[in-house]
Amino acid sequence: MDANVLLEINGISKSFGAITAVDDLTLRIAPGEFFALLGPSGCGKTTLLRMIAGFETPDRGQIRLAGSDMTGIKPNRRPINLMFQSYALFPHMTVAGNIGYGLEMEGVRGPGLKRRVGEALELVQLGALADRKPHRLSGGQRQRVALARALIKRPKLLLLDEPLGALDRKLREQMQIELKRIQRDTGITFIVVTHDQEEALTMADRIALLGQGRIVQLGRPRELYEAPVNRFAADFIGMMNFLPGKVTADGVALPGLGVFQASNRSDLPQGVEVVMAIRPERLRLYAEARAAALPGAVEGTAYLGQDLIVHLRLDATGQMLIARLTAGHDLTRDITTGQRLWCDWPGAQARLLAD
Amino acid sequence: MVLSRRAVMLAPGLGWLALLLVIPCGIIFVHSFFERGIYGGIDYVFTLENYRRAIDPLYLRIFLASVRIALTATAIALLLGYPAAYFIALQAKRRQMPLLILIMLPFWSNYLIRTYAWIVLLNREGLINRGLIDLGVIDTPLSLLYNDFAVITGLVYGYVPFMILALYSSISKLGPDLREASTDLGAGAWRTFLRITLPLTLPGIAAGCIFVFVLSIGNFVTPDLLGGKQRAMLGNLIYGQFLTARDWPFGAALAFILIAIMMLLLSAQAWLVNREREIAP
Ligand SMILES: Nc1ncnc2c1ncn2[C@@H]1O[C@H](COP(=O)(O)OP(=O)(O)O)[C@@H](O)[C@H]1O
Ligand SMILES: [Mg+2]
Repeated sequence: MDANVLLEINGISKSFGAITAVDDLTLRIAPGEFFALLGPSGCGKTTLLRMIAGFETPDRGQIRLAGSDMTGIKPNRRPINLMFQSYALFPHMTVAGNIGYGLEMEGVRGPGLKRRVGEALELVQLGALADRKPHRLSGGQRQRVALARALIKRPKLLLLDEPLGALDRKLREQMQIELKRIQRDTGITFIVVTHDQEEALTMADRIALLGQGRIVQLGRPRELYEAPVNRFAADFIGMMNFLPGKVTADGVALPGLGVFQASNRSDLPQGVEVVMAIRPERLRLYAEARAAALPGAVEGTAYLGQDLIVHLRLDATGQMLIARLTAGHDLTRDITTGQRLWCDWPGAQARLLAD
Repeated sequence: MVLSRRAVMLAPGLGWLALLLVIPCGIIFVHSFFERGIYGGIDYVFTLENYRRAIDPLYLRIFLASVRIALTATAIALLLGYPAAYFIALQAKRRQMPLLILIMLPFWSNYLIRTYAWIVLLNREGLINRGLIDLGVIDTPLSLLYNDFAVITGLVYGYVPFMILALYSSISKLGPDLREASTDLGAGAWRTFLRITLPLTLPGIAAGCIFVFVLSIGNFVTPDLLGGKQRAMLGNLIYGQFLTARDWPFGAALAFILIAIMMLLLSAQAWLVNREREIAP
């Protein structure tokens, strides 16, 4: 057994009738990792978590935890806990009763139980609410109870299904940082499911981007953002401009626009059809014409406070580019709809996608 | 405007209830304070004698026997009904309705006829005795009919569907999440049932038990047909006072006591259902 692998998923598949929810998926997760499963709704994230927790049986493949095969092991016998998307708090028990439940099942009683419930309450900052019933808690408080209830058993692996999905934006951002702190403090390996790319980028050490039950890309947040492997990955994570073209001897020919450079051009053979992908914040806009910059007309702007989004329609081809300027940019003050602007981008900031 | 429309829509139903339920109950209540006429009928002289007589040991014994039989029937109906309701609630949604219709199928034939069918099954020459003798399990027929066993069997048979429906509605509301959360936290199937499913379906259990108890304690057909004459329950006693002994005021007093008990239990049930609705999100 490899000491650097906690969870080993080997070629698992799961179908529901005609729908293949998880399709021949292989994944390794290291101890202490904060891992995110990211993907659009319906791509099989929950199904994968439920197979790891033991609530669904894979049709094919194997799951190993700390070296031992989990096949046939019931959920209540796995050193894994799942925080449910619905939280699934027991409505007839108090906050303390909910949190202590898992330890009670291990036979922990009396002062030992009380002390550890107290610690768990402390960890999620809910000390004052120990005797409340769940129906008298706010969404954020419920989320914390569910987290404490799953953490108190000190599992080898904690699975969190859309843990912040039900919270409003402000609270969600605060809890992202808090989850990260709790994970670091406890040292427990986390697998968090989310469909929110920003959340995955903020929290995770590594991200697996799923699409239709398969891993599309696996890597660190920066890799996923900077070097998406295909159009789906580029589109799902952050905003992206796409310009179709063809690899030539001296660059990438974009029809009607010219020949451009890209960071990964040498990886691709000449003559191949590609899509050039450029992040909106890497586009540069100018008020006056300059060599090699493409002219266009402003079609609309969106003011985001710290940033300004500019939609620019290129004169040459009618293609729309989205640019994101920081508030400090010279231009942000006086861009108006219909205005003429010029844009370019550093070749190192453009990436070619083969599909 | 909204209120008045609601009043208009409720009026026919409430009127119906008032005419056929509240007013007759009122009449019974009033009559329970009068004296019996010499040749039956009623002498309109105020008295509390009927209520004093109702707690006479002779009648108190019948009352307690009725409670005991109704409670036994309720307990058995609960034990039979819970697994059935649980099984149905766990099926895929589209399979639940056909099963529930099967549970309600007996209601399509008359209660009296179904009770007579039990006589055919339970008598000394009946299907059950014959079958057991033919199989060599017993030599002489068991006395299965005209005793408490037969009455309880008949009541359980008649009312177990109400129990199942009440339990089903409570169990199916629970959903799999809480059970899975309990399993995830290390509880086995039995502990999950005791700690999660059972407490959370208590309102359904109470509702089903109150239904079956109320229906059983007021029943007079089943004890009459399956219990034999000397095994009278409260319902038979009231029936007898009105139709045989012709002591209407005493019958009215007994009936009113029974109605009061039922009302109390049914309000408790309504209160439980309301409270459940408040707690569930
Ligand atoms: N119990 C089930 N029965 C039938 N289909 C299911 C079941 N669970 C999930 N699916 C289907 O499998 C696919 C993946 O679902 P899920 O894992 O819940 O996706 P996600 O959590 O990524 O939104 C979906 O198409 C969903 O409809
Ligand atoms: Mg999901």
